[in-house]
Amino acid sequence: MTQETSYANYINYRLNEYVKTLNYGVFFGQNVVSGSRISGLGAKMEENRNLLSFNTQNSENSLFGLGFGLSIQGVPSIYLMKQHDFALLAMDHMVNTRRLLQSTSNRASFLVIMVVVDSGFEGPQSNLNNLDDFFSLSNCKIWLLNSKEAIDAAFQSERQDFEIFAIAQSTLKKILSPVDNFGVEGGFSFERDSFVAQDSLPLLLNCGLVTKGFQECVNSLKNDGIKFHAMKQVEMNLETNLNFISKISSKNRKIVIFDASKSINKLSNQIAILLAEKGLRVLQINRGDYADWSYVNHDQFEINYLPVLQFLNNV
Amino acid sequence: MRRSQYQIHEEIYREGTSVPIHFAFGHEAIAVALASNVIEPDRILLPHRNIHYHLALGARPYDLLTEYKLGISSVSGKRLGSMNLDFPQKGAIYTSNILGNNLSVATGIALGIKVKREKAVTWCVTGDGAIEEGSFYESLLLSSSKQLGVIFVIENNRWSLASEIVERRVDIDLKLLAESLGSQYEKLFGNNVVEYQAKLSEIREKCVESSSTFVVEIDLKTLGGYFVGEGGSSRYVNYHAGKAQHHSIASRVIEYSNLDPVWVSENFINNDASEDGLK
Repeated sequence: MTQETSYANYINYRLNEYVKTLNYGVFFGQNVVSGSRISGLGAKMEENRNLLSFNTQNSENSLFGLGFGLSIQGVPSIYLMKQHDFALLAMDHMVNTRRLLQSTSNRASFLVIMVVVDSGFEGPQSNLNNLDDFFSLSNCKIWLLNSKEAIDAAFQSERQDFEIFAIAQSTLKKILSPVDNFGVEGGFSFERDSFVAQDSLPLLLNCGLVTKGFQECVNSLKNDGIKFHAMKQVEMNLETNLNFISKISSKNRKIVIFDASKSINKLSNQIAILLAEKGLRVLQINRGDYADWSYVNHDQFEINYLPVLQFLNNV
Repeated sequence: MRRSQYQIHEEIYREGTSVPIHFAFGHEAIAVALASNVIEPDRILLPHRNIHYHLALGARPYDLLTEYKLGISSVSGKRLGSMNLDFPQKGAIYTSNILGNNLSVATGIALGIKVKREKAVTWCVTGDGAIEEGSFYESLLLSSSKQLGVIFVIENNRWSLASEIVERRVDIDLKLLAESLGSQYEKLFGNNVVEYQAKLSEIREKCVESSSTFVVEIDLKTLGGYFVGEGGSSRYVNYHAGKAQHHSIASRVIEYSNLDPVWVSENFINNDASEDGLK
């Protein structure tokens, strides 16, 4: 696919390519074969003749159980769901059933594609739309579909018995930025060859699904002629992430970590601790004290660039 | 089978170990009937109380004991302990220690069987406590809606931990509930193994032919309970898990002998409950 397209359409394209490789499979979820689907996600999947595709009842716990049962039976499945926070209802399955199945043989892939609702004005439950707490509880493999290279990396990776693809509601209809020089390693995407050089340029690191504020900051700094490296997390994987960060961190490097997560239990906190222990200078840009998730709010990650500039300019 | 359970009970608690086995004294008839109706490639999904099904499927008591102590034997071939123990070579492929988690997994397995066009049923065992979980309603609805060949076997001993049904909720009319969701319903009682076998055979045949969901309620009594308190405040408490009141096994079996005539003398158990005896 070369023409300009939206995140939703590109994910559909990639999903169709994946489905074509299957002998048979099951595609299910609420409203996935009718109407607007999931904000356009999953459109026309039912046209794949090798798939049993159907709309389901509203019962997330049981739908996760359905996918794990199909996996045991050797039938690959894709569960497309709208609101990530409803997956909390199935935490028992992700913690217990998933681990028990790790010792069974001939399992098929169970892929859950979920939309993290970050579009704001949702009410107190928006606090539950955070992948960090979810990741901490479940320790699931989560791909963050926050760029074209992330989507490509997620679909190109070998399918596991259970994994999650997460996409932000705010990006579904947006046009994908063209990329042609990105690599993915250690759960991060970055400009190819960027980290071959053992320099000590600052590193701007985005963690989590939201990239908007980070991207704006990167663009501003580039316009100001500041040299730095930039990386985006595309996979939540504690061991892989920490190993890679550790590998590319030289002592003289300054690191700015952006994370829009609403959790106080951020994976990026672990990364910051690791870097600080290695003697690196680290600045974390998180949501401020203004973020009270008990009330309806606009759900935007607001970044003040001044501390970033001061940190980078401070010798 | 009951003797085997007693033997394991005596052996495992001889040294005061705290392995939380949910013994199933009094549940044997349905386990034997179900096991004798399993035809490959049928699948069985069990709950945390599963020792009777493993014995009925042919597990040796000594091997169960080994697995309970987190060793590896020919039963699961893994270190799953008592509440997650499976027996894949006999079709028991998933056991959940989480109340009700096996229900929805059963629907996925049954859908997989349908996709692969296999002639098989999915047996899913649970109890009267687990049917209070939302997962039961969700899974029954899912199974009926997709016309899946699942037989939900509900062991109704009327107790959840130390609470009787009357203490915790209204009586659920399972027939009404099952039929309202498009499932078929049967009730078995009396602990007659031969009758149970015949009935389950008939249900299995219908399930395969029509690819429909069944709820089969089993009325049974769990043996091994005990009394707490003294005098007028004395109260019977159902056996749930772990070590049964030693003195109560034989005496309570006698007490409930009208409901469950199968019992084994305590002396006989004690003489045979050794590692050599279990082998």
